Amino acid sequence: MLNLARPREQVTAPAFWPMAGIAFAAAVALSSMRLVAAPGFEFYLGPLFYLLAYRWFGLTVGLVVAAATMAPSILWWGHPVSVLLALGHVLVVHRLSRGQQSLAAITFFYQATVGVAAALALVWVHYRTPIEVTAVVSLRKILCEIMLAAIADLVTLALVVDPVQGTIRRARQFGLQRSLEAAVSIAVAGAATLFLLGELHHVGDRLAIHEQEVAQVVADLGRDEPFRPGQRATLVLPGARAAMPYVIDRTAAIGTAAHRIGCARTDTGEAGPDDRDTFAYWLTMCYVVPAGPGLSAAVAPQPHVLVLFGDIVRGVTPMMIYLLIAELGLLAFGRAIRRSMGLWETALRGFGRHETLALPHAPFHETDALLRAFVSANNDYVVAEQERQRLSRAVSELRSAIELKLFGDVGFDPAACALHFVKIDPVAGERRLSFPVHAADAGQFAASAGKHDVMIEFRRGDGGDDQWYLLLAHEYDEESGHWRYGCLIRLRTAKAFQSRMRHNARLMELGGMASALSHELRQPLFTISLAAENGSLMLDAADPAAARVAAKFDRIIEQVERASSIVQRTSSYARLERDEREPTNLVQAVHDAIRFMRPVMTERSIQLFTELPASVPLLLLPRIGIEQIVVNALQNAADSIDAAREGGRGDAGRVSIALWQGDGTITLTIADDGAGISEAVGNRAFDAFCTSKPSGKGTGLGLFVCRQIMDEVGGSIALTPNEGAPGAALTLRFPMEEEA
Amino acid sequence: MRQVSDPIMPRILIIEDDEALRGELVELFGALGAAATGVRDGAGAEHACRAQTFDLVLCDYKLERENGLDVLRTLARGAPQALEADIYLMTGHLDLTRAAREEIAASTKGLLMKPVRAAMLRQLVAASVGRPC
Repeated sequence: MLNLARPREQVTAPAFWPMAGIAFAAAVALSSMRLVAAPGFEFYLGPLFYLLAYRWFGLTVGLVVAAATMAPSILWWGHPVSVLLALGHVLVVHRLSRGQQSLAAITFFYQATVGVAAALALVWVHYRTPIEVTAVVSLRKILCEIMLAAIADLVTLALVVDPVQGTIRRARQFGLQRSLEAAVSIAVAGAATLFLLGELHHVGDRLAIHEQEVAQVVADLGRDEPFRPGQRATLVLPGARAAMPYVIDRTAAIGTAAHRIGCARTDTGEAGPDDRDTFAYWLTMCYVVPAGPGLSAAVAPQPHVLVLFGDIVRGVTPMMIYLLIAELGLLAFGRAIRRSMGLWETALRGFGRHETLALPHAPFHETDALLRAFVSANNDYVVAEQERQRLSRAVSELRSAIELKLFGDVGFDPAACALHFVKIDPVAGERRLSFPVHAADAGQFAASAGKHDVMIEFRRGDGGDDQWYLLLAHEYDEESGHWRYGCLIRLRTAKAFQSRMRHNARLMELGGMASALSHELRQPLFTISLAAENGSLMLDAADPAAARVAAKFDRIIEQVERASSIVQRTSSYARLERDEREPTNLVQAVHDAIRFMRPVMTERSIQLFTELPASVPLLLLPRIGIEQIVVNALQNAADSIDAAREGGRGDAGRVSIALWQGDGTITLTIADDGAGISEAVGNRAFDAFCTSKPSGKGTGLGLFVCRQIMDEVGGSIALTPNEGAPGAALTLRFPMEEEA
Repeated sequence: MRQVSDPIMPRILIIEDDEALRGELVELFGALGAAATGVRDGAGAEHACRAQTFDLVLCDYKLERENGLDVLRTLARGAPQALEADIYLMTGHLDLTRAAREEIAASTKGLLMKPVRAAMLRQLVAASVGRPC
């Protein structure tokens, strides 16, 4: 037997729970940090921690960690939307993952729907943020969370935590679907993230260049026509799509003037939550550039910034579509994997069963080819196994029919009550052996002494008295009182079995006889009793002599009653044993009947062909009766073959027995190529005392009893001539409703 | 076979293939004051039932070429009014199939086990006409 298990490397931390507590505190601390990868690309580690917590510790811990790690966002934003989204995230993962789908794939679909809807509601509708900014914020959130979820996937694939045992160990097995989904998600989402990061990273540089261009244009305008304080207009840079408002004022008052064109601050590069790394900064500040002696211009670059963001969104969109296609492809792939695995499971569970397998094609060529090969090998095995069982039954039947030993110098020792002989063994050479004989059979040996050829049937002497042997010995030697050659045949068709079958046959015949007689006698008994009643009614009541006659008639009537009750009792008694039902294996019953009848078949040179299944359901049947039906049918077949041979058909001599399970019935046919049946006999074959055999050879009760038995079990029996061939077939149908 | 019957006499049809038994039954019912008609098979029964109506029909279950249920089917086709009589089947057979027993129970008043006592037959006649005889 294969042992596929290997000792696992695992760490049992002595202080697992304290360490988990420290990890929790660290997670909350890290989650409260605002990490900035590029201007406008800020993210939080909360999702990574709560997804890990969910995978390792279950739903409740996942929800608690989600609430704890996302709580700091309430302080920054002043609303709990991020916390609610995180709780929803854990619940959706719990509902959909079923241990197979990756966190990254579920996160993608969750963020692309619920996440985007929340962003739209909050950022666009509530804060009135321009749609370009809303789109970038949403993309940033989707990509960040997919990346964190994919990282959580990879970590949980690599490390297995068992909170019950308090252990953490390296995983030796990976979920195929989860690994693939995590890998694809991290690759595609990673590419999109890097693209977005690169674009946002350049926003600061582009705006610095833009500011220089604006300064140059303002300086050129001021040279052509000097500015006046308080002057307002819009500025369009050469080749630009957006017109930017600007205001001119004295340099000292330019900060206040900027407010008039919607700027909250001027671009002085101060740090803080609204510093240059935030969208808000670029959308709410004004450039301040020199606009002549003592004058400055405040220019609001917001329209230009929105054009920049719009370009970024357009750049990332194809990658997001690619990500969507990849995730949908992974969904379909996951289904295909599950279907493949389901087919394998069916195939493995069906391995070696009695039925051959028939499976639909698997989705993958690679697994389908293997599956086909497996199913084909399994089916070949099942067929071979059925054939092996059939052969094994045939061999054991053959073995039970005959076991032969050859030896020389065979003598009987009356004192020891044993046979002595020399066994000639090709390996061990000559060995002198003795064989105990049952005392009751010793007389046969004494009587055979001096005979040249003997055939003695005897029982073994050491307690195995139901085991019978046949000694055939040849060439008696007067001097030694031994036979020169002999063979011993063990009669596996034991006497006990033979006598039981013969007893059953007699019982059947007696039951049939009693039943037939009961019917045949009741008719005349009825006539006699009616005749007596009529005779009695004819008498003249006034005639004194008639009283004596009436008494005689009454006695007749009374005796008829008595006779009919005897008939009834005999009939019931004779049938008691025959009708006893027990869970019966029809295949075994047929084997027993064949075993009993084989000597008859062998003696008459009749070939017996059987087609029997390995097993059929057990039925509640009168087993003795069923065995006798088969014995009777074989006897009739043998007699019919004899009749055909006497009629000149020397080729007759085949009997076929077939048993098969159909829809609600088990059918047994016994067909011969004998003389067949005439139409006249066919109609009356099941009547009592009907026989086509020569007088003295059949009672005419066999088929009558067979029909009685089949009627009682609710089955049917039919005798039909073979179509287009000599002989006849007896067909028995057993209902399966009375399965034992 | 047809008998001229007194309208107040119970009219009985006996279907029995055993001639001796049929004769004794006809004679017994005659002695009991009934008008009994005896026939040997289903065809005879159909013929008799077309000619007159009967109060009581006694039919042997196992006839030569048919059984009592076949006879009832013949009557249902050829003389359906005959089935309004009290119908009893008689048998000496103990080995009827379950299906046959169920059919007998459904289509007759009962199954009589041979030999049937004269007293029992007298009761059946009385019951069929609703008065003692």
